[in-house]
Amino acid sequence: MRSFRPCTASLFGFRARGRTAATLARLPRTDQPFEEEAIPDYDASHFCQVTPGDVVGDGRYSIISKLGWGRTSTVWLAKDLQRYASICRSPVQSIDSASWRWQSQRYVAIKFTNCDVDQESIQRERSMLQRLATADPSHRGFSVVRRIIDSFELKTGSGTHLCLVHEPLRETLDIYRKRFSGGRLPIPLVKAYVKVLLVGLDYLHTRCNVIHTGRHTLIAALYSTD
Amino acid sequence: MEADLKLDNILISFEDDSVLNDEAQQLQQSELLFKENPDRRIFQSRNNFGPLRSHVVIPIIADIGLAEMADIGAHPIQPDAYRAPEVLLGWGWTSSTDIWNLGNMVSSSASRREMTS
Repeated sequence: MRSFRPCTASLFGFRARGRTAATLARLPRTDQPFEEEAIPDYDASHFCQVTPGDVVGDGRYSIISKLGWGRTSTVWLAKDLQRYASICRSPVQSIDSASWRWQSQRYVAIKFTNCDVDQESIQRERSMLQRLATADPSHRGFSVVRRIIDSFELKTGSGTHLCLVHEPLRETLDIYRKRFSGGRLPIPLVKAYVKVLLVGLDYLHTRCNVIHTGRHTLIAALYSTD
Repeated sequence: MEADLKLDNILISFEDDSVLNDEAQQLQQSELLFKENPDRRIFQSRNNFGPLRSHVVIPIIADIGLAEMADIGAHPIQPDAYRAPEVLLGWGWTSSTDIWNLGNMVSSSASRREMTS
């Protein structure tokens, strides 16, 4: 894999600062649970410490800000230094960036999953996501399913964190509907979205042979058809 | 089959490159807040990108890490309020259970109330 110096970031070790790094400011002291601390049975050592300005993924991604958190991960907005560099070197878009033409070409969302997830689950999830990203890119539903751009592992003192790099997405449908008057999506929009989602489901069912459930992928082993 | 198609699992794409470009620019002049603990810093999330600049957005199916390989299964898989009849009756679920859930989700998004069973 070729490597080159990104045009804005100056690199010195793990904590490098690009030009887009913001100022960090400490909140007043509080004992109130903050962000992921609100999770029941919260254990700080399971979460990966991420700081804006960090460069991760073998020098490829520069962390910008935190997007959100979940029970088993935190999600961060980052700049893809490779893609950014290739764009600012040449005015002509590369073939690589043409495939992302309907979305931001510079930014990614990185999910830093907790290190207390067992290795087997990690690898199963990783290969599942690989499958979704490669099964049939020509299918119309391919771009309706969130796909993985990259993945890497980050080892800390507490364990190994699987990091998943995705296209950045704006917000959940739940939040989006609240932006409309009356707090609900207009019917024509709902109809259009249903059509799109059905095509996405078709891709999952027919090309990936995959079911999306509310449970963890641990259950998948019992029902694997491979 | 999507057995847990909730409004939380569908996200919309960004309507324009300018949204994130502006966010990155804005961050250069602003502060990222964090809570200082003895062993770590916990940062505040920033995920409200304001009113949409256009409505050319695509709904994207996310949270695929919870996916399973397709087969006939019998264990309960959906959140209670969303269970399809065949799941409630223990008949086993298939890809058609996804369509039931999509219907739930459609109905939720088109109304203010949350879907109840």
